[in-house]
Amino acid sequence: MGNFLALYFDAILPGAFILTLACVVLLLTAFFKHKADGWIYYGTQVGLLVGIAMVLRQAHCFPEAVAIAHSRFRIDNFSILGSVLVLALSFFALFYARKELIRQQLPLGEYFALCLFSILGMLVMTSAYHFLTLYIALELMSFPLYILCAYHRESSKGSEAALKYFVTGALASGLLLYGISLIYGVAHSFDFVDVGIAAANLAGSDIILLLVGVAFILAGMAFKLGLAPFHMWLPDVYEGAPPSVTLFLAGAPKIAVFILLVRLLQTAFVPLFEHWSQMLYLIAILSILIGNIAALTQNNLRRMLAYSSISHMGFMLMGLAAGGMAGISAALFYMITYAIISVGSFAVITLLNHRGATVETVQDLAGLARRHPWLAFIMMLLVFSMAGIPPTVGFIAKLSILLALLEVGHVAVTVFVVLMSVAGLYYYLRVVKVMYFNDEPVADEIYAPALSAGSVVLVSVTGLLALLLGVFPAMLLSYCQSVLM
Amino acid sequence: MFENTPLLSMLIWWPVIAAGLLLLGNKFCPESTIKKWAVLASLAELLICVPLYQHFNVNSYDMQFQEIRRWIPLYGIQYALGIDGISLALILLTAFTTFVVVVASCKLIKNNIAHYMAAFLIAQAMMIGVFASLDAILFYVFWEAMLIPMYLSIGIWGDKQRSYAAVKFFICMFLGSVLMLIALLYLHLVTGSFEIAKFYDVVLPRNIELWLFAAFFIAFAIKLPIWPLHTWLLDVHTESPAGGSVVLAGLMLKIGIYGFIRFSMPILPVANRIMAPVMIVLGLIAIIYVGIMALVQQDMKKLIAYSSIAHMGFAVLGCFMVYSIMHFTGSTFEAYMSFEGAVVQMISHAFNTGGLFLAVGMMQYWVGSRDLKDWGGLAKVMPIFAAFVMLFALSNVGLPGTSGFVGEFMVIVAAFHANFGVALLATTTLVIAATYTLLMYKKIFFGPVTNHNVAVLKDIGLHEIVVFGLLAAAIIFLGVYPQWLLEILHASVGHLLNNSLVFKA
Repeated sequence: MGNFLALYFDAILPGAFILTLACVVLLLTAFFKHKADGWIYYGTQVGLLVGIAMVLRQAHCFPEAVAIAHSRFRIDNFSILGSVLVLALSFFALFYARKELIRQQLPLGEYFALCLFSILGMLVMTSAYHFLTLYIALELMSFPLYILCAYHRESSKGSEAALKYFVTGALASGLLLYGISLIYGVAHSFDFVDVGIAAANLAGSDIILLLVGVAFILAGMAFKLGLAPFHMWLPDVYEGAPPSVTLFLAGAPKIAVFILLVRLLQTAFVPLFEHWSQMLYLIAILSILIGNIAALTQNNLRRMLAYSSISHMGFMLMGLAAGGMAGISAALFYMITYAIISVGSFAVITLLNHRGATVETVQDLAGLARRHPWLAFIMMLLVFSMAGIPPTVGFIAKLSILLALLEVGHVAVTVFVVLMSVAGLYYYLRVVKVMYFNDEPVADEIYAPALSAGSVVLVSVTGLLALLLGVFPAMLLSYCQSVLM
Repeated sequence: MFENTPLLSMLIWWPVIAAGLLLLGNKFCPESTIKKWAVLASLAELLICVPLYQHFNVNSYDMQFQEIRRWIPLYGIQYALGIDGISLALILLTAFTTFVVVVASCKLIKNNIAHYMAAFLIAQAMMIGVFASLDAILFYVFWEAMLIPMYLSIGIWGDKQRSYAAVKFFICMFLGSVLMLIALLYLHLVTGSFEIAKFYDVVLPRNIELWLFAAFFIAFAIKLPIWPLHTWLLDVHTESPAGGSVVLAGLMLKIGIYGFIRFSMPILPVANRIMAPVMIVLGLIAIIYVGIMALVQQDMKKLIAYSSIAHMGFAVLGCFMVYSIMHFTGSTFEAYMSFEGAVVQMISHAFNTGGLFLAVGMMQYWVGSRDLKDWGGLAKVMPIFAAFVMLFALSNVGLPGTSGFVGEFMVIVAAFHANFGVALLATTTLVIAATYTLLMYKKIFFGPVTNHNVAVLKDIGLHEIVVFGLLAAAIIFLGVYPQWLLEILHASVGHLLNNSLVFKA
């Protein structure tokens, strides 16, 4: 019995800790109002680091994968990797949130509490092994995010974005739920493994029903990841939400949904590989096409990065669609590295916001190389990494996806993908061009905020990681493979 | 003592480290110190080449100075370096040309000198990496990484239209290279390895070979550039700073030819044999049509850019005539001659075009115009400068005794037996090149001095004399004693020819 309890304790410790933290933050806000802001900020940041330590402790406690609570959760290396990434990326995003909130004169306590609840949802999601857990985790993650989008109440763009996000998100949840019910109807189980076993033994019309369910679930996931044709909310949200929320959205939630998607594809949907592979190819091709073409014409920087993220998610999905160890580990590598460079680029943009002035258009970066040479250099590394130019990590990520695609014999898709990345290069180059080649001074004093050393160091880490992982990718690549075993 | 020294790694990474130090030092040191250190860094690079040349065995076609380390074991990608004669010649050329550019740039660049020097040092490192890679992905990484410093150097220090030119440059290059990447990955799929040497043994169906040839062709033809994929070169050359033009014309275009002779021809002999007539026609178009285009240019940089394309046409001709030579005469001697002529042509072209681009860059720096009509009578004002440019112009024309003569002569002589028509058409270059080069020379240096800005110029000083003197020495040395270069090339050319001419399956 004691053993049993200890097992539970170790398994739920990080989640329980984050939940407690969220409640404490909420209480502190309720009783002390603004006076507790400093405590909340530092407390949350330290709490997230402690959370990472607790998750890492799980790796030590559970050398073998364990399923708990009637296999509603599963703790293994994959879930641990996901949790660590979620917490680390949240730490990164929240690090930049305080200055933004002060700048926009928004309350800090509720913001952090909402973020923590969302993080809790993501943590549950990374270890979900059951369709009900999946659904609850997704909702727990999403609801705070809807509210966060509208956090700046006076901003009409923010409210519009939040409404759009909420309505489409609700639709996605509906689809997901409907898909789950169809699957339950056929497989008579919510358990990933049981569904997988049932799916392998089905025949006739049941298979079609199951496939419809799979399609609905994949559509719901595609919504959350921002994949075409379910991407409509993404550009509006990235543009309209407060910059610090965009920074949060770009990292951790994507990782969490990705982990869950891989879990599903590797367990419940394994027997249906040929079917979902086709669906994913279609979604991926559409995403790459729409993302790249639409990004070409965007002038708003965050909108452009939103479309670029759609195409990146499409690229990543190619790896999942290719399937097999090579494909899925390539997708994992792509997802990890893209999350890092994407939060890095949003952090640079957020950092440059100052008083009433925010970085909105690409043109607002003009002359950055003169004013903040180091920040411009970091941004250049991040942007070249997104474009997939060696020696940055973006190239290695694309390379591994291309190798996986060629291995399963999709030469035409490969050619399409690389040609689209040439089209994509144009808008990435525009960012570098504006930073380095434009000399016209644009209201210098507005866009030259004094930056704290810590915030520059942290964002530099992402840029330098983009370079270092590009030059020495071997370790992370083999780790991505071993974690899926 | 040099057997175990990783000379190639030093050649690649020393400039990168030096560039980093220059950028660091930029905050603390005055510009003059930065310039001094940049020159010393590139001189050191040149000195590393000395043991490389001394210990190179010219009688072997094997890859020498090999360094093989694991890089990405999961995909079997290695950090594998090694050079044969052709690589050695191109690496020597790269180190030499960069040294000249760095020295020359000391007086040609007004702002951000440390960044400028760093960009060229890094570009140099990446180019040496391209020539020394034995692994296809490593090759690709260097090939692409080179674009970043070039892109920045064009965009930051270029002329008015610089951002347009820089973006056009990057996108054109990238378009070519991603297709090449797919070809390389496909070859990996077939051979299970990324070693370039393993690709040579692969036997592919004819239609696959043709597809791969198309991918390689687009990559290398854009780089080279071959008509009609040459339009980027004109914009980029006219807009880039003087050093950028020299590196572009002198070194980067060579990478296109290098790609053909290292990848396309030996890996895909069947497709290359089938496509050789097309390539020969494209080479002739470059020589004749682009040469005629050069005749009517008013912009000096554009004129030299066109002349570059025409000269590269010769290199293409020399490479692809080997199929025709083997078919019609079966003379290995002539095939060697044609192929080596192509390589000599591409090396000598770096010197004379480099010299001309530097001269025009300086003239633009002095007077602010590169339009021919603004110039005239410069020989009266600057006799020493005029003498140097005369030498570069004559080498560009292909006068015996200069390096420009050797390559063209070898290609034409080799072609005569195999195909008289091609040889005859190629010979017209002697007339066309002479016409446009000498017309340009006449307009700049002879006649009355019409422009006031030109009249007040003073002749070049010691600094410029050193720069031009180095290039002039190289031109005359290769013109008088080409055997030196041919010895380095011979064994390796033979190996590549064997692979290119083999009848697979």
